[in-house]
Amino acid sequence: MRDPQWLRGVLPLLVLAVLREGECYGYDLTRKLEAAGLGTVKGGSLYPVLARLEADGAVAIRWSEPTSGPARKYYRLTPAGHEQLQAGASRWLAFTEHAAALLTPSTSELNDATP
Amino acid sequence: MPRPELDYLDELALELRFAGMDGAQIGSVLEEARDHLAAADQPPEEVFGPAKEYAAALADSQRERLQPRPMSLTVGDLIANGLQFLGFLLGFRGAMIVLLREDAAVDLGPGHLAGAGLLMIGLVWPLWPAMRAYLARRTGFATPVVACVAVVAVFVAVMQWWDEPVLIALSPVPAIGLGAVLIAVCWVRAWRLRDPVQRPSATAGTDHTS
Repeated sequence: MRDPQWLRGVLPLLVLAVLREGECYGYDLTRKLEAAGLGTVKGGSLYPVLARLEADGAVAIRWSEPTSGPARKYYRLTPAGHEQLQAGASRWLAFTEHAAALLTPSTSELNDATP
Repeated sequence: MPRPELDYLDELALELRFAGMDGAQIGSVLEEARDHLAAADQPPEEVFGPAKEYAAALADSQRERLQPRPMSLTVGDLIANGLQFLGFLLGFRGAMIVLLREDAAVDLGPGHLAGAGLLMIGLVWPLWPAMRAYLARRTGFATPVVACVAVVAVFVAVMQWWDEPVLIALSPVPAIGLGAVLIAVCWVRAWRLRDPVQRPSATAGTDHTS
């Protein structure tokens, strides 16, 4: 079970990571994040993140020409987004490594817990 | 599109306007929301959360691109409304004299000018705050109606009470012409300042790669 607070902090990085694989639209991003095991990401959380990334120049957008129905907004990673992803991913991985080290029970604790 | 979706998007558009987004930004948000809802086949509240909160989150994410004082009255708005009021007054009174074939002039006294001033003050308070509160669904329709009636009552009383001395006297036809010019100028100004919600075009986009 994931904590929504964890996802909130790392969602921009995850979005950039999905976009590294190629251009995506909003709903497609939610499905890819879900397929990656991150659970359902609501549009109410995703689009403000995308708007922030767009404002920062980390992603570029284009609108599709619709044959019917609403136009579709596609996002793609920019060189600045690539840099942001690389820097952010290293910091995140370092952080999770330290967190994991702290959270992982030591061998003695495991032995004590064994009946 | 089902009614709940339309209602939700209308509310979202209003909240985004209150947050300071312009017509192009709102059109972009709405189009993306429509596309998502069409693909997800879920109720909008479930996908985006309450419209007010969603609009606030979107606005927060692009704070530097928002209008600093959204939906506020400017000095230009007030002057335009005052001039428009005088235009209606001149036009209406001139037209009445022409239609009734009276031998009279359209005269404006201090009460008319004070009425225009009072209208401008009444717009600042209580008319505009009452209208904003109504649009934001913080109050019922009665609030702006009561505010409007109160402002009109005050300015009619001032006009009736303070009609001497005559400051301006115009023949009916020039009065109608001047009134029409004032109204037209204010409408052209309003038309130029309008900021309708625009659907994004395929040529719209950003490219930070070049």
